[in-house]
Amino acid sequence: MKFEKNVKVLLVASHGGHWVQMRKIARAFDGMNVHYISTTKSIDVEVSPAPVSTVKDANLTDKFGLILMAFEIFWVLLKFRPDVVLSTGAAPGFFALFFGKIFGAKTIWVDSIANAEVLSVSGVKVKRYADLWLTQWPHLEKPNGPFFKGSIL
Amino acid sequence: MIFVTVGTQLPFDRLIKSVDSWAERYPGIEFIIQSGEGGFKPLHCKEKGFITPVEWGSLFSSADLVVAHAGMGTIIKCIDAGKPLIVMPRKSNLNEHRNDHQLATVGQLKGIANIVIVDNEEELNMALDTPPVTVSKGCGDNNENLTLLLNEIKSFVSGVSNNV
Repeated sequence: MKFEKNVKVLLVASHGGHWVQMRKIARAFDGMNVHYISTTKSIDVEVSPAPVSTVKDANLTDKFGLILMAFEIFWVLLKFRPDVVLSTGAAPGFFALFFGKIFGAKTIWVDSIANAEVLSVSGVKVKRYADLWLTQWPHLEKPNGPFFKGSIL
Repeated sequence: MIFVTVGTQLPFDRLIKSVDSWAERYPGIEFIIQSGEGGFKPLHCKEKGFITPVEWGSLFSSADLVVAHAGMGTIIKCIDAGKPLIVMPRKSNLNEHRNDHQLATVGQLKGIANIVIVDNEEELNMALDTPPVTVSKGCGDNNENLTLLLNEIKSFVSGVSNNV
């Protein structure tokens, strides 16, 4: 068994609501080796001294931006080699889980609580790459996932 | 001070225009608007386009009241701090967002004492006339749902650390 401080955890969220939710969830990884990915510089003061990698912010309307973002995230994973990858969304989280699976990490998706009627686009697409695939709304739970196991509020 | 914040992704002119015309009638009240990119320029409020998360945090802390779009970041911070919040969800048919998830979000927020949800300028005016009150700390970090979620993730991760 690895000591907790040797477990490498990559926490990924774009700026704004995704980040605020992810910070609450980060408490589950206290004492571990945590590395963050977000889309805004200057957010690093919130989690210092833990390292933060900043990647390009993009969504489906910006294909070129998405490709660039994917490359940046791939690079972070290549260097950090996490044991666990968790994201609350959005697009950066999808790529982090996608590459995380390739590198053999265990992956967790917690869909944003903002998606109270349908799962987010990234949340649907990430299904195949998420070992633990969660929604924060009990009424969105389905027999084959996403599962409801609590929420941040 | 009243802090108005609409996130960084898209402008939200309907909210900012409504706040600005209310502010015109009450010149003694200070408004600071974080307006994102482009869009309507308020005449009676101080405006900041993009601000750093640190600056956002300090404006949020010194605000007596927050007026916002239905972004989860702002909503969660207001719930945690018990801070009064007036929320106007963006609507996709007015091109204010890509979809109507903000309407769904606010549908789940009813019954939180420090939050008032408004649909239009008229309701916003009423809410500004009689704003919601500060509550002693909301559910914050000690609620059953969060504990459940953290425990689920912890047990998942401990399974991982036993195998690596």
